[in-house]
Amino acid sequence: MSSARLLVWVPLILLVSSCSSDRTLSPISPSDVLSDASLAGDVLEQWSPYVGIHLTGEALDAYRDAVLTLRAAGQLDGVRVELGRSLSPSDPTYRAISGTGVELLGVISNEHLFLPNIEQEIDRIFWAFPEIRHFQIGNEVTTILPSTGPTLTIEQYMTIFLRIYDHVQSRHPGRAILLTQSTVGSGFQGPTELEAMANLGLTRVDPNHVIIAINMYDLDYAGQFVGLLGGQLRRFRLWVTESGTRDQSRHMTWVRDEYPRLRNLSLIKTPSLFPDYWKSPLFELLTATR
Amino acid sequence: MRTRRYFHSTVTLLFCLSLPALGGTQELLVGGPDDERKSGTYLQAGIAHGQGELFSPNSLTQWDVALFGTDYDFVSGKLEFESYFSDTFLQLSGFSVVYRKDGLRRAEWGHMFSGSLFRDFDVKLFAVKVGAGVEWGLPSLNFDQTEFAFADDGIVRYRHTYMRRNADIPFLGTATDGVVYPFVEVSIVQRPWFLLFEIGIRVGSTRFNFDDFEVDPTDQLSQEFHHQRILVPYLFADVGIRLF
Repeated sequence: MSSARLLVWVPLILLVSSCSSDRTLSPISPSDVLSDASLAGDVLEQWSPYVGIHLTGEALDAYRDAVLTLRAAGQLDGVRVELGRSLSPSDPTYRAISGTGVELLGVISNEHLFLPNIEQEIDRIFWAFPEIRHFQIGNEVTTILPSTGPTLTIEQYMTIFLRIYDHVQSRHPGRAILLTQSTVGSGFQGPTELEAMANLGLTRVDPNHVIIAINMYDLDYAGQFVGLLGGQLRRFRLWVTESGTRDQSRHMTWVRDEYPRLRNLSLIKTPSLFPDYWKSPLFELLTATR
Repeated sequence: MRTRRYFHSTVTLLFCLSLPALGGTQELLVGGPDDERKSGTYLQAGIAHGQGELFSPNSLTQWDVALFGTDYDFVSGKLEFESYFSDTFLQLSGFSVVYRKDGLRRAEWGHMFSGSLFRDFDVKLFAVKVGAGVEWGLPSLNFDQTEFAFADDGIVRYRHTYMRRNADIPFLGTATDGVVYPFVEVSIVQRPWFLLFEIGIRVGSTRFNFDDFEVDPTDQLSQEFHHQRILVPYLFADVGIRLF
């Protein structure tokens, strides 16, 4: 059963989003959170060693320490990192994370999508980050871009995505697997947006080279994806790129209760966002010496 | 928690079963000749219980009467309008319209509506009712399961099993978010005074997809899809009152 844990990406974004750099990661000894052997066993069984990280945040030291700690505990196999335009491949935190040998999923941030020559930018990113094989093209592009700046419609996004896809297949065949932008993680907007993406050309790409990504914070709406995955998008793999809850007291039960449901929907990898991870019982459990 | 829920469901089911015996014999006649049927429209409320094994395609047809311990199961609540004709019409005794909520803790799925026609047969102490109809709605996600297999050489295999969506729920979400499928139903009905008690089994005939994926360490993807029509049974117990 331990191998089953390998599959679901579970986000360190969730583990670390609101970390601040003035906090230090101090060792936490196993406490009462580990005293419930049944709960601890269930959580460890369901845990997925994939997490998401905001490299553009302000808690880079904490991110680095968290990755190293989780990696040392054998609870981390992969990390989703955002490749912002200002991120240098020599960034010390990025290097520390990639140096651990974890599998990397690079999010080509939304700001790249407004560049007139996106193909040239893809060439640059592929050259700068040769260790990354999986690249996600944008994230929640219709919902998280500030209204004060340029925004994208899903039609505009799909035009850009298909340009990138065609460029990668012609200029870099076999170099990378692309992930679509993740649709918003709750409500009906995400599923209907994915349906629009299918109608706008997603079904014409090769599923060997493209993985569908979604964010999933409210599993009550997950059923809306099932018809798409069993219909127009049946040939595609699906990764959950964000999931979780900000409420520390629910981290453990989220993993125990919601990860199996994500897996049952065939949602394979899920990065996400657990703020103040070092206070979370989940982090305590995962990094406890056993 | 789950054991207690089952206990309550079982107690309720047994209570419904025992009520007809307490209420006297089946009252088929209402002030008319012996061959006149008791007509009426009833409002019913009830519970249902469904369970099965999705990973074995045949398991739902080989349903184990043991109610507990299977991979997928849920308790449902239902509301029903059922109308009995005064005389059989085209060999039919009446019709019913049902709303059933599968999985009571989740609001966004498991909403099923159905309409059926039935014929009942008087066997003195109760009536045996046989019906058939169509069910439509947003199915429970309890029917979705994925099974993984990890090989030492890094190859990951998984099978996603799910009820095929073949209908639209208008004004809601995506265009393929619903299901529609036929069902048959057999039940025992007792209608003493203005009350109605019913227990039975409903079996839906639904198409399930079985999607097999294999991904090797270089991300080479292999797929194999097949489907199968599977019988999905529900046990149910209803209590109703006559409206008119």
